[in-house]
Amino acid sequence: MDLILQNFDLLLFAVLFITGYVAGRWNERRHYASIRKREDEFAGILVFTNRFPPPSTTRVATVLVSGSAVISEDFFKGVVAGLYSFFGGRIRSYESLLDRARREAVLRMKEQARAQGAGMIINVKFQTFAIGGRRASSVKGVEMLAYGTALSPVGA
Amino acid sequence: MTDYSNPRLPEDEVNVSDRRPLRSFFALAGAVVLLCAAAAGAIAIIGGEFAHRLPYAVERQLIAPYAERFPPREHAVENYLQALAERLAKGVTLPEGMVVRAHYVDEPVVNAFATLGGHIAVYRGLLERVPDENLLAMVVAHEIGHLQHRHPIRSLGRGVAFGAALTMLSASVGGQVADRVLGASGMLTLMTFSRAQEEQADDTALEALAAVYGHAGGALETFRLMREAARANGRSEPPKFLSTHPLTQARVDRLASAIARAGLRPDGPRAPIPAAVRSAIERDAKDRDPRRTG
Repeated sequence: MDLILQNFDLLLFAVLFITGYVAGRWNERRHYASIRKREDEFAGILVFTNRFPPPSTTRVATVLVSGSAVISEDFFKGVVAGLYSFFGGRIRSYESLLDRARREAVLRMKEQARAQGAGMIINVKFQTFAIGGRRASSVKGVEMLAYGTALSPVGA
Repeated sequence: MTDYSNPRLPEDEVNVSDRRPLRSFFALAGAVVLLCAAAAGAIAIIGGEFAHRLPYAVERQLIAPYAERFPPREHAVENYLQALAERLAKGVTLPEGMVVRAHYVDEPVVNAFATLGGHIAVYRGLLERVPDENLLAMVVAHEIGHLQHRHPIRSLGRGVAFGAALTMLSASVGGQVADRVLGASGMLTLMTFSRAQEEQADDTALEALAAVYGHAGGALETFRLMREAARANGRSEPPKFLSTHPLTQARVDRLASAIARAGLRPDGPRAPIPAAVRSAIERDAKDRDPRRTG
């Protein structure tokens, strides 16, 4: 009992670390499965970064669509990222966070576009915002915002 | 619109490179731990060296609050130990201003230690086992050897610096190390010395022993006695003297060859422990443990 109390900080770290690793991986796997499934589902809605619609486009109605996703790190990723900060290099543990956020944001934007009856989104842009992280102990997360102009055919 | 399509992204995404996050973690954490350990080791060595340069007067101030708790007692055994320590210390060049103070600890542990401020403690358990004064003198002289080379303050500096360095990794582990060095009891009993330091103290002890008695008789027996005490204790708690003073055959051999090299007489007439001291020790033993008879 004494041993547990004396090494409480180590124990707490171990519990957080294992929880972070297991739960983080489980969440990430589930999220990726969902992302892949919906990407297939929304494959019909085309996304372009061009500012103007393709020349072949007929008369369309335009509407702004946006999708935003906020993804949190887990304790394990945070620890590994902290270790990367000693030695430099790619913060590999955060790469999947940004990847998931980006793809989730696009999917949500596409969902909005489909609700508008649009088949194409042009001039797509991304913005990102880091949440928390000002203090060392705070939860770090990332927001990814995707927005663009949805084109829906008129008079169809 | 049929001219365009958004292809499906490949499963193996280029934007996510870490397929084995645990392996990355262990590689990185291993590197950090190695660096910290190297830093802690370096700090410990620097700490030990730095502490050694501390003037003895400062060391005595440091220990003063603890030393006050153990004032000189009017006890036959303590007086005898003090007189013996003073006789042995005469032949040893101690650091400037250092006065050896011997303490008698009325506990059945087979142990003796040297600590900060020129203090030496000998336990009753050890006194009960020594057959004559020469063996006891070897132990006391060995502890004086530690004092001469200021091993306690080095050990303290090393330990505290190491503990402080470890707090970089974990506050509780570092704190525990520092606490252990500083000693929960207040008296610094668990000071550990390196093998080289033990050998230095052995050399001093031999010289002091020869200066007082004219021969090195008892030196080797002391080690034998300690080892027997360890064996007699069996699986139960080994004598503390052993855990703080590793007692290897190599060390005994080294001592034997040191005696030969210095051209000391290996043995000679032994001095007995005064009868008054013996009876005082026996009295204490009976008071402490009434079950024991004779």
